[in-house]
Amino acid sequence: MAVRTLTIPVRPSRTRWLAARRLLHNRLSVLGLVLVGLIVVAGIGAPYLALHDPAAQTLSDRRALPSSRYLLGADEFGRDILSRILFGSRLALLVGVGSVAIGMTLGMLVGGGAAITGGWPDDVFMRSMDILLAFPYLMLALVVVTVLGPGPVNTTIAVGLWAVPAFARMTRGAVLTVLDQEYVEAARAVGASGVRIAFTHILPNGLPPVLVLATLYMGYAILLESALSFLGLGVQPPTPSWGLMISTGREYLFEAPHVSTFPGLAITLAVLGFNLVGDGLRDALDPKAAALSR
Amino acid sequence: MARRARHAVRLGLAALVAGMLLAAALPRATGAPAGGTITIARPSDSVSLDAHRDSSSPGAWVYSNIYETLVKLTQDMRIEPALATSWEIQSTRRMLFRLRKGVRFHDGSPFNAQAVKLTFDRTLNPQNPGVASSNLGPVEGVEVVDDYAVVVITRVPFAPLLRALTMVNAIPMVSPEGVRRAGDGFGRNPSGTGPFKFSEWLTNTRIVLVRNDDYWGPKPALERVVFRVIPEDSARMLALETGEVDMVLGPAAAGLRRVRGNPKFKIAEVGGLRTLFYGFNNTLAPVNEVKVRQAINVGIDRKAIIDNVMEGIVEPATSLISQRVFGAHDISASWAYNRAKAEQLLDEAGWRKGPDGIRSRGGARPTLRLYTSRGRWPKDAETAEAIQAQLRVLGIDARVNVLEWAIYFQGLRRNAHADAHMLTLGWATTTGDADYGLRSQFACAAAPPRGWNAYNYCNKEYDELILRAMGSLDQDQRKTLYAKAQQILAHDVPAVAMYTYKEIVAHADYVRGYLIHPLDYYLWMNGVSVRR
Repeated sequence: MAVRTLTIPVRPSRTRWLAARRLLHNRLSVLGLVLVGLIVVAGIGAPYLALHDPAAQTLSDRRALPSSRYLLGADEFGRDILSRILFGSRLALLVGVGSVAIGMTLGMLVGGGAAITGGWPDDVFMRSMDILLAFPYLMLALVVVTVLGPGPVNTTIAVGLWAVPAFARMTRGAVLTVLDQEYVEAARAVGASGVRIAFTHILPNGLPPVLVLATLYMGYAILLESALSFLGLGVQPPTPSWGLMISTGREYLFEAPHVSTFPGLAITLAVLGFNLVGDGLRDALDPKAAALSR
Repeated sequence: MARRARHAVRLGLAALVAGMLLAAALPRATGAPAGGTITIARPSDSVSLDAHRDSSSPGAWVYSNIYETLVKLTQDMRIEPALATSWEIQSTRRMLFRLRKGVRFHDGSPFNAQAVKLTFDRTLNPQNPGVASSNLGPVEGVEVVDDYAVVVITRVPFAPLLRALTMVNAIPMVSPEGVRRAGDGFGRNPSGTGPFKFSEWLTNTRIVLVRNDDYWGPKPALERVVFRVIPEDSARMLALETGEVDMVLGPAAAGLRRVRGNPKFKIAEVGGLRTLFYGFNNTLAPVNEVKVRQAINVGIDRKAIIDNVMEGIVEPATSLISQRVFGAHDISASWAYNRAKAEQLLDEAGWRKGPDGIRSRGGARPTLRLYTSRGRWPKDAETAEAIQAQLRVLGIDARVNVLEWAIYFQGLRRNAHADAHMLTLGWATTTGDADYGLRSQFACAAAPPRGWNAYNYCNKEYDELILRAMGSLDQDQRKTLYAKAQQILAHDVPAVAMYTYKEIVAHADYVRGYLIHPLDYYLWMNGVSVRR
């Protein structure tokens, strides 16, 4: 058995394993993985983990301090903060994944398309991305949400659109590098079709940097969603959103700091987690950068 | 050597600190005379000090000290003589006013019948009406009888006339000479007859008024009134706590909780004229059914919300208009909290609870949409959120839709929130007369943009009562008519009344004689003194 596995050394999977090993050897990345894992577990398991209905109010328990009944205390409506944070992680993850998916898909289409076609379409696409980049990030999202109206779907779209230029640039760069490689030329020489080259050579080789960016942007997306909710343009109450929880607790910052602090901590940990994983992935997937950083 | 140098530095520092303390203490020691200067912090600057241009509170707070009206509304909502000394009804459309003699405007020109006529003509000018001239309703104009008597004429009998004439932000008496000289600049160079005169205005920084030594009435004690602008809620309250200002307008709930109970500060409060309610879209299912509206009306635990969410900034409502409004009738018994009755009403109407606790009928499982602004009225969105949770307990699924104020307001004015089941409105009956609240909110003809009836409520019987009350000059009869009209509202429940906001001002304990007015436009400083 052992002999047989040794006889099929598939190159890509070995580099993948190497990358995973490098990732797991980096303590910070492991911390990031743990944090991200916690959020995913919280998001998926919220209905089972939460001790209270996140929307149920007990007005007389308003701003209750952490206790055995409310582990992280209660908010201004007497709702359990822990339960709301758990349910809030669903929203954070959904908006994060959704918006990164939007940003990545559109960005890869635009950037990849621009790189492969070249010439004036390249200029038109990339200059329009530059225009998007020129907007302060919150401003762009605010404009989109104001036009589309508040709500989780529109927030996802707003955050996703904001992420498009970064992915487009990254993809374009990666694709241009791959296009110069000899194996692409070789594939062309033997008459492989453009589509075949794109999917068998360019996509797998250009993907790693884009994946790193996607991980990093998960963190940014969660932060931006919180910012929009903080400003009252994200989800509508009583849907628990970390940003909205901070915003409404702000008024009681002196008397009941726990109302804002715990959701703030949740955002911090989530963003930190995705950033650490993203950094770790970059080092792991790029042996040269990893060597340099050591 | 080094030690001696250090010692010298220490000594020098000590002397410096002592000197600074002394310097700080000196003005205190010599002391400003009793009734010197009061500094008042407001959240925003006035747009204009001409009521013709600015009828909002930040303007009126200042110019309620500069201008006076023919009759005035006291803090206990009585009508008293001001620039008019007496009045009599000549016919259903004509009212005679005798004017106070020997009164001069700040620019020295005399106050007389001609000035009254020019003030009315200016406000009612159809080409360029005053921003709050609609409060004058069917007022047509003024006829000069002699130098000190005028007749105010209305197109139709208009019972709320006297109260409308008390409104300093609608029809204050301005100097015709001052208006002629300043033209469009009158708002920055105002001239009235009030106890304080305009001195200077630095935009978004301060407005300074000085005592009018020629005032016809009791002389004010204060020499100067300074209005500052501090937009941030917490900064405004901190300015009071550090002694930078003596009075804070629009104090935020968090700041109030902090200074309440501190003997260095006083909180002046009185139930105001603004009542917050939720207007139903009376033609949209399922709230077009009276039983559903009644169920929601008795199924909301207002006391829990007032005690826990509002925390002392409101008082219970007694009707859809404030209890301090003339003609208000207590119908609060019709919404005494009774969850069992609410559930029974919904059951009777055929709305049955499903396994998830949400009610449905014949396949219809409606979600009510509750529209609100956030922060336009204190804790408006928070109240909506609390109501949503309470409706859920009754088995009614509801969604809160928080809209930005400008968008929400435009929608209200255009009757464009067609898919909303409940609309939040904090209505201030600024004339202090039921006519303004009950007619412009709930009459059939008051659909936007003419009125504020975005609730599609229409009851002919109700309309007849309030129209009769508007035309009747017998105030007792008007009260009876309004009472009947409000009983109809108690049955029909076109809207759910929640609470009436208090007017609240926080000030230092050394500010004496301040009497808060239920109508927040009035910030009369003539009875106030400062004794530090």
